[in-house]
Amino acid sequence: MTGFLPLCRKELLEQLRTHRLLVLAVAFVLVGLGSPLLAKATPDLVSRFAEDDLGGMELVIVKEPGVREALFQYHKNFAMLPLLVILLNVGAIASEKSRRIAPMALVKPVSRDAYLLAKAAVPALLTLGGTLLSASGCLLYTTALFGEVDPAGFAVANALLLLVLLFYVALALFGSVVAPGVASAAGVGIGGFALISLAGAIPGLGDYTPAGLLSGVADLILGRATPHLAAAALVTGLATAALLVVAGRVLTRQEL
Amino acid sequence: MSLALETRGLTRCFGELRAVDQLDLAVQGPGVFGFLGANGAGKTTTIRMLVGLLRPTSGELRLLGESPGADPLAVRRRLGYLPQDPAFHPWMSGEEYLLHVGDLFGLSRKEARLRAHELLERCGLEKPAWRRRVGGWSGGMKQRLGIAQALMNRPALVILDEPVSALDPLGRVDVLGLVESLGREVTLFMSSHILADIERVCEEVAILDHGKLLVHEKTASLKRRAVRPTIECVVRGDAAALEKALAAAPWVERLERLERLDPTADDAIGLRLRVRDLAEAELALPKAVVEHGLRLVSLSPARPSLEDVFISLIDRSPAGPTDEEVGA
Repeated sequence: MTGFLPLCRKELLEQLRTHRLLVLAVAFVLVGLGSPLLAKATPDLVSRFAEDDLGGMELVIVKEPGVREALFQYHKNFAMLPLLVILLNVGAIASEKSRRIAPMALVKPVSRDAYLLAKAAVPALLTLGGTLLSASGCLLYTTALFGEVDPAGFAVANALLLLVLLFYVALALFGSVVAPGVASAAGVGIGGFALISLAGAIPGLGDYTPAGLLSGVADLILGRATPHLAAAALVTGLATAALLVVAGRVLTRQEL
Repeated sequence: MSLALETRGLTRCFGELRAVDQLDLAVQGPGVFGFLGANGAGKTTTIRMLVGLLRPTSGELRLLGESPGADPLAVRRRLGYLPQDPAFHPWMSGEEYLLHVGDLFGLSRKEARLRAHELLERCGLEKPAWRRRVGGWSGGMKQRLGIAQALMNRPALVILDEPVSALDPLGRVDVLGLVESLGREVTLFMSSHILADIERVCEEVAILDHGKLLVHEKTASLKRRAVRPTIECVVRGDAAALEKALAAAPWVERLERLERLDPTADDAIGLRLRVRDLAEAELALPKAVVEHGLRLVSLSPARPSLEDVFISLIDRSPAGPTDEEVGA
């Protein structure tokens, strides 16, 4: 894996200089802190907006929000992050290939596997950091606003959410390797996201997809039965690894 | 001593097109080796195969005595490469890029910084630019940075693809001077379609045409061998009748007027004659000038340039060289 660490250092610097790190951090913090706040404020907001439109009728909020609603809101907001992760990573290799930057690096004593893995490792590390940041914020605010959260269950839910994000990082990099340019790489990444979301709706089969895993985490948070969660996590983990392995094979054979 | 660069039957096809066709090269270092050809001759395709960015369709290549296929990383540790249009991360400064390259070659931070500063200076990049983002640099500055990055690892073999194409005339002189001085230490394999540049710095040259090797020889001997003897003369007076007579003379192969003469000499006319036999021409030409009532101002055998060689070879070999031309 020659060249892996120097390439990781360069990737980290690039994430910082191109403000991708900042965008990612802001998004994760907003999801973490904003979700319990939004859950808390929702009844008030609904009441205020509805006051003028109910023709004198009274709006009754049947259930006051609690820990479960806050965490569900967190899950709903977190479910938007895969698209951000795809958009931030889909050009990582495609743009370097199309701008002829990649050949400059790949004629140095650097293996193509190391090049790809550095492209995967740094976003994975940042996604891990972002998830920790987001989860910490959510845990802090939910506890403050609604009461105690089951830490083990919350940790498992976040680990699974992280796994989903890592799958989409791998999908974005796969698109970035196989596509000839950034636009087509974005097509592969976003198209893949749409297909996986659709596949998640297929009865039976959909439970085992990354989209099914995301739905399973919602069930976990809501305290429902989650019979397919472990299998969906396994499939998502294997699919992540498979995408990276195939991308590595393609990149190794690619002419630049 | 092993060759710095060697190819045998190197071929690359793109569909029906044979971009490089059975290329045999043997480059002994140190020194500057010129790889010459018109645009589209196959120079960049050859270079991309040499550095491992393209796979040959067939044939073999060895760099620094090693086959890159067997241990590519070992070869790349001793190789420097400048692509035709070097591209950099626009958010990095020139200094940062060189430090990153040093990191890739396993240099310590201190060692990389010293080397980076030395090369930035040697390549003529002004100190204030070192820490500015490369995204705002001119094409010439990027070309110089490209040369610097190719030398970071003190390579034994440097492959330069059109290293002066983006430079202004002064920049070209600087960089060719650098290439010339480096040629005393390492082997440089330099492609170009600018013949004067190759002629200035390369002791040995290969000429490629439509993917095929036309010639591979020492520059000086090539110029002596491959070009027919040529005479240049300047006469005063109306030369129309003389030109007609010379064009019909059996010892003249080709006649052309010289364009660049002293503009103050109104009636001076320069003629360039490619002749079949130099000795015969040196006797016959003054006689013909006098017979036509003209004054002979000067007469000298022309020193053939690489451009003459190139044009002569390409002109005579639209579909490939004859055995005589390649010296086979």
